[in-house]
Amino acid sequence: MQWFSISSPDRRLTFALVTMGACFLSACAPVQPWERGRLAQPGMALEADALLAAMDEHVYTSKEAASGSIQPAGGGCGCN
Amino acid sequence: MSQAPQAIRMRFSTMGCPAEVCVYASSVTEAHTALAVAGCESRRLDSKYSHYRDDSYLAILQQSAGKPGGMTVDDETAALLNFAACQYQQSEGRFDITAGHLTRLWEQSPQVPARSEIEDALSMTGWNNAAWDGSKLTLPAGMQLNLGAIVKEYAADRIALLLRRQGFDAGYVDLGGDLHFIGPHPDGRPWQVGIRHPRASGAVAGTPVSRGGLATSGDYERFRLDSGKRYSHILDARSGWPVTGLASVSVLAPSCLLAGAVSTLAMLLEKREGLDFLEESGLCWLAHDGDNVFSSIPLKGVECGQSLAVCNSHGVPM
Amino acid sequence: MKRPSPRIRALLASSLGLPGFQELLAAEAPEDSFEYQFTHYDEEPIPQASLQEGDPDRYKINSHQLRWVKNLDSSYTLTVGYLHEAMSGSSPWFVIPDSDGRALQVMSGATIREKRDQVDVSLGRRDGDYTHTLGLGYSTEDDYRARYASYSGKKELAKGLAAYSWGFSYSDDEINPTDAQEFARVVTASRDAWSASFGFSQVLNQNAVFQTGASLTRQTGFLSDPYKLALVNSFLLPDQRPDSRTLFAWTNQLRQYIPSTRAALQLDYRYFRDSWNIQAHTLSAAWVQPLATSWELTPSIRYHSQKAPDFYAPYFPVPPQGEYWSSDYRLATFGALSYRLNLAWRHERFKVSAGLEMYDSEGSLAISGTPQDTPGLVDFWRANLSFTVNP
Repeated sequence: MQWFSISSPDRRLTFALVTMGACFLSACAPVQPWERGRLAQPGMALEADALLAAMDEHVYTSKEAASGSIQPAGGGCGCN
Repeated sequence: MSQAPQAIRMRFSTMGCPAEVCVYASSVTEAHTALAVAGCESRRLDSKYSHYRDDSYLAILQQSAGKPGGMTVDDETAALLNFAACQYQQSEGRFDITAGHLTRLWEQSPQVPARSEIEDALSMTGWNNAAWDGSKLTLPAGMQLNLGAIVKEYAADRIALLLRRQGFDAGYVDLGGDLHFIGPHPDGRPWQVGIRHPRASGAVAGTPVSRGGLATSGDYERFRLDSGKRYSHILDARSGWPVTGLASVSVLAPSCLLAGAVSTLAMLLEKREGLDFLEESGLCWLAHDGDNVFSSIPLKGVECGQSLAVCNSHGVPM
Repeated sequence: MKRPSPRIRALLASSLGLPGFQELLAAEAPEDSFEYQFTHYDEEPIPQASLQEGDPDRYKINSHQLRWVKNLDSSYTLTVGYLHEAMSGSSPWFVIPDSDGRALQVMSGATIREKRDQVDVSLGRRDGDYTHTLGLGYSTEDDYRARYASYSGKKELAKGLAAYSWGFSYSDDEINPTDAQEFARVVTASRDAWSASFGFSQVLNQNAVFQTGASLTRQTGFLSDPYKLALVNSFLLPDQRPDSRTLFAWTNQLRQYIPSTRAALQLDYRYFRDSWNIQAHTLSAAWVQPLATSWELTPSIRYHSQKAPDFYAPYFPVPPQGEYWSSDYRLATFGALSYRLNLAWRHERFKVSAGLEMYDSEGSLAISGTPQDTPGLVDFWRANLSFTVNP
């Protein structure tokens, strides 16, 4: 098995993203219960519309070489 | 000796309103337990949040107004203030628990208050002038709190919760028109509720309810007539004037507190806006503008078998 | 109860801090739903100038999806999903150079007709701050069969302001290519995949929420495409890829509320890397704009860029250095841009949604790697229509 190493342009990108993430986290303000109205909007949900998300994943993974998300993967298909 | 459970209705009085608790019980002792639970909890909340007592927790909180350090409140009060803050935000300032002066002015003045008196009362109103961090409340000097519009609904929910914990799962709590239905009749039949006409006697509609809170805001029982003009007891804390939109709004929601907040918010909007807000809410509701009935469900006429008269509902306990 | 509006949900959420209210409101079961979605997927034909031989018309797929969510009681939720799709068209077979060395596509001769059916069942359990979900699935078509199982969990922290999530899945796939003997294809083969994932989400402030997470997948077995050939040193040889692959994906999602227009901005980024030395960046942005009372318009854009593995080439004038080769256009270095517009209408217990997507891939859109002349790169459009009811 061949393992992968992270080449330098990727290292720069990784660094940028980690820094960006850290900025987001430092922007955390305590959110009180009465301030959650906007977070309850449908567009603010992290989980997208289930059927559309499943179809997106199916289409893109069968036409592109990349796959994977935060949720565990489903099964494969013989799509060619 | 125990028999098949029967519906037992018990009347009492709390927060200046006639109240009723109804449960299915198989003995008088069991039914009395329910009444004791309801009486205890409503007395506890009345003595804690009444603004007619000098020794209530609310009065102590009131006395902290103007003190720079403010006052750290207990968890229950903090949660109520959180809810009130959310109502303030969702109503864009029309609903405001700091409008104590304004409420008193309209309640106590023999005629319609003068514009200058209203301006004065508004100058001592405004939740955004109070500092609230989730546990400590700092009120500016002279500001008066009024939790009357929340506490009665909250009490109905609390009593229902305590009754459910005691094992009562069929029945309802009615605190002067603020209702919480614990569960349907043991055979699954819902309770039939009649909703009163805001201008005439008799019911506008009957609706079956199994569970949840039902609250009505309306100008039919508590209002004033001045030079032939009808003034609602629900005040817009931004303008200082009584609302002029819908005449009454009843809402069915998971809790009576939420039902009360939604019906009040609808009353605080202009008629069209209020109806749109109700339409969007996703809850069951019924509104009356004095002439016509509007509802989230097609009305099936006025058939109330075991009808409950949903009397006046809302606002400041008298 | 019907679906409450955001204002009602805000009030409801702020009442949960009252003593006993979580218990009181727990009697309100979360809502059941039934959803149907139709999708038509349509690939553009191969341009005549790039076609050497075969049918230029590529895949057209019609898919029907059903999803039923049933809350069994206040803690258990059953979800059943079904998918049926029917595809027809021809697909890229191999690439040969013309006399000037320009790559030309050879398509499969006859139109392929295929059907696929998939069933998923999952059972979720809520237990205080924890949610656990077990899932099973089965997918079948003439030449392919997949059986898979998954477990995922989530723990809410800080009264719902943050959450951890984790998951594991396993898939066991079997391949039985059609016309195997006629075309000297592998007769039967199998592959399987293990996958683990972890995520963390955090409410940043009253207008923003962020989630980051990673997944690691290990595939083993027959990972080549049994239908594709590669021209290697003037021989036509079956596609040959390594028999194991480790995939890593790092996903980030930001949801930002824009108060001035009441819109939500959704930004997603995924970094992908695997042991075949493929790397990819996928970025998408969507603007969810509520219109009048019950309408919602969502324009979105997606960009994907990938770098090919070392064993990819459109054709191999000299034998490759390693023992693997593939001319599958999906492994090529390319970039793809897609645009989508979605319109949704909600009324009480109903939601209707329709969307259209245009997808365009080009070698020159890649941000890293050296694009090669790949005539098979696909452009497609996709239209979907869905109905949801909360009975």
